[in-house]
Amino acid sequence: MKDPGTADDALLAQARNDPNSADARRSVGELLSRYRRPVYLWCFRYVRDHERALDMTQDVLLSAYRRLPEFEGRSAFSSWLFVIARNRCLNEMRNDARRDATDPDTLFDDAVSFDERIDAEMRGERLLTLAARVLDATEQKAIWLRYSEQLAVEDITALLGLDQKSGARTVLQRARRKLRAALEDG
Amino acid sequence: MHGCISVEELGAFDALASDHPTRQHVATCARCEAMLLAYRAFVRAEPMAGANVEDADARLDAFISEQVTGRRPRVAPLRRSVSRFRFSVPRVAWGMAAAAAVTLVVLQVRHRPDESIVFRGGSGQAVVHVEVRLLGEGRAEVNWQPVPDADAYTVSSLSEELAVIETLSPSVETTRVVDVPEGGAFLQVTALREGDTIAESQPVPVARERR
Repeated sequence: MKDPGTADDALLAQARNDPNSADARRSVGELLSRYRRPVYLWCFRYVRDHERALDMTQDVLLSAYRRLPEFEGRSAFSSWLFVIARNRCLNEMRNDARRDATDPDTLFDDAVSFDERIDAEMRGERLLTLAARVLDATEQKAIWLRYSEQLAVEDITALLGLDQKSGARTVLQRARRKLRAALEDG
Repeated sequence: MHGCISVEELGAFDALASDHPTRQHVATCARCEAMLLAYRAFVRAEPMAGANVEDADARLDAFISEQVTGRRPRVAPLRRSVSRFRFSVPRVAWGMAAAAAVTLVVLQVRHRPDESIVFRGGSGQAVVHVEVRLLGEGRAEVNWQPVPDADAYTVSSLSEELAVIETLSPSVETTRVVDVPEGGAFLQVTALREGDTIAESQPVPVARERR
């Protein structure tokens, strides 16, 4: 995707020029087509299921289309769309987590409950402060990507450019141990 | 977390000067750097094992054509309650529905279809009445019952083929006045929560009076 910003702006300008015209609709169609693959792959990254990722992508594109009049162009279109895709994926993960919470096999799993505790506390200042104090930069990023962005371990391995053999799994285990110790101390 | 970059600002990050305060902040903030890594991965759209991008491209192109440009898709649309509904009803049935709506308008009777909101996600906990009343000069007033959990609504004008012609900006109001566009045959109400669609009405026929 070369220089998406300028070309996106041009398509948006065309779309705004006469919003109800066929030209405007063509421009919007081209803009959404340009991002259909990034959105699909982002959704797929979360659910690892082609049909489900397609459904989610459809929701994201439709939501973007309907909300386009609200887009004021203060940010890049790509990051605006990323917000919508990210929210859609995180909602999907939250719904999955709610379903999993009723699974009796996971109710007494200590690892799950500690993960949930980290997940819940990621929103608070306390864990942020704690993470900054006890974790190194790679561990902090891995924790953020896992618990805030809900990315899979293998994706975190790739994003952080970690060794494929142990990958993010080792980093996350180490980070959890440090956080657990810090939380229990404090 | 003061100084952290917002998700919407990520697209402009690479254009910032090397001494820009935001760039300096990101270099020392794990949260911001993680967000930036995620955004860059989104834009790069690298192929992933198990993903079928060719099929996705074809089907999403068809979907975009149908929704935005109003062209009928050449390939099967995606799974979706409204899409299935759209393609399973013969066009003649829509014509009959539109004719029935004209008759109702002539008799000055309000159109009140039952259970006209389709819930997505299987909640199905509400029955919502959508009313359409013609005001003359191509305008129609639409009102509906609030949908639980919805924080905004949009109203779309659809063509006879049920392609979206135009959509009003989201609003919390449950009554809107719509300028029915040329070729507009149906109106559809969409309930949103945080920008995501949570429910859609069935397309409600609306007859644009002849001049």
